[in-house]
Amino acid sequence: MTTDKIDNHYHQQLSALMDGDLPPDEARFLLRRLQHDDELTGCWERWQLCGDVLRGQAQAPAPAGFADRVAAAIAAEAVQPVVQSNTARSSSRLAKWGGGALAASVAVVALFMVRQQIPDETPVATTASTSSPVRANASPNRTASPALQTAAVTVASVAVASVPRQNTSPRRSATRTQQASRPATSSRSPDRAVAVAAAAVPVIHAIASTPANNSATQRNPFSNVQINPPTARPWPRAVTPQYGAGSGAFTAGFSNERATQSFYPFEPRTGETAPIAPSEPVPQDQ
Amino acid sequence: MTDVVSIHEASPQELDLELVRRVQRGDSAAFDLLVRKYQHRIVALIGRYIHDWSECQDVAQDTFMRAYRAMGNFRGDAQFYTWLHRIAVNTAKNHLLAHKRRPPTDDVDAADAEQYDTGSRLRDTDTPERELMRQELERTVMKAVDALPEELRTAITLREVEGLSYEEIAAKMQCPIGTVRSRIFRAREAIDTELRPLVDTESATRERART
Repeated sequence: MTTDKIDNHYHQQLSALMDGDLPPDEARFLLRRLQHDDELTGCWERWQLCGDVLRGQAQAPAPAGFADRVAAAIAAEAVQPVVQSNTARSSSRLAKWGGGALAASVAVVALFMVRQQIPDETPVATTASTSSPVRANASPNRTASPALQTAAVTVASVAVASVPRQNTSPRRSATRTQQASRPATSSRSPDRAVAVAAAAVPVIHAIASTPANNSATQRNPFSNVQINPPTARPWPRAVTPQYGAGSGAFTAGFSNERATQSFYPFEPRTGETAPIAPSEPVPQDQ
Repeated sequence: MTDVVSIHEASPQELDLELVRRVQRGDSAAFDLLVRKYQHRIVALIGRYIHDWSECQDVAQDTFMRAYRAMGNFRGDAQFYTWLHRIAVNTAKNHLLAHKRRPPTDDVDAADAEQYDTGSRLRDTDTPERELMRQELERTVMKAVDALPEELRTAITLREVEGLSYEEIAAKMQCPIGTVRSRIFRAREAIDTELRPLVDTESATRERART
């Protein structure tokens, strides 16, 4: 098939398309071809002009190049048609609130994990997680506990991950004045992203520079239950001033021997405890 | 599959609707086809409100820009041209009010704009060059139609002027639909052969005027 025959074929299809008589699959391909075939697009325009002249609707025909000017203005403005259908609006709203819900759920899970690991430091972790990431990173505590670090990293990572999503959906303004000010607005967004990312970096550095033995001494990796030896706690002296200071009369505590005898049934037996001698008789329950 | 349903047995209005759907999906080339289809009618409509030719072009361009921005609001309840017609009238009136000029009290209805020739006011104030161009266009097209063979002239007239479908034309001319399709295509090709040099000349003149 020569080029003329191909062009003739497309022109015949275009004529049928204009009258709504082209089969759907051919119409789909022809519409796609019209996107880049200027000769075919010009033919479409002239045939429409011909129809307008025959119907008497072209009393003032548009000047040549009018459609090109409109296309150039649209391209220069970079405006996307605002689809405000209910489904699109609800989906965008769902995406917006869904991101927030996801971040909140991640923070809650991190808090829950922290609460389970070290109950004593729960108030500190709560404060760190509820504060903004920038505030949490303003004075990084290099001796912070792993729980605090986990919460801070979680919040910081969620904040950093949410920045690109906010930047990729800029608001489309409707007026030319707003469009003229758009470059300045868009130039601020990367700064904000960099600021949040920079705020998150100290947290990561702080955790990376934290001594490894800090966490190793706190947790037994082979046990899922933390066994802390109980420590003696003195009675508040303000309540018992008559007994003087440093007497230790009302000090409550536990014996150290009892702490070492604490036993968790699912923990593997360590080499420090002496194996049970097989020769000794096993005490029988009465 | 959506395209299959939407274009199948489509009337020209349904083709418009399909192009609108494509624009709503982000296909700006589909909007370019709509602009090329309705630019002459919109410019003629705005010319009834705004007599200055340069302002008329600017307002027509603004009309299409507004239509593109508001394309997401078009649900397809009315015909696309009716919707575009409303935008053009409002844009022209706002332009007149912004320049402290009183818009005409008699609105041009979309249906009336389709049926009746109410552009006499524009012709009174149009520039001689524009009037000459319009007359030349009409003369060229009518001359090309008159030169067509009888069956081609009948087919293109029934389609473009009367607005009949291919089935109705086939029934009226007592011939297969494929023959109707071929006759209309050949008629358009013959008219385009006469019309194209005129349009290209106008484009070249415009380019020379710009440079």
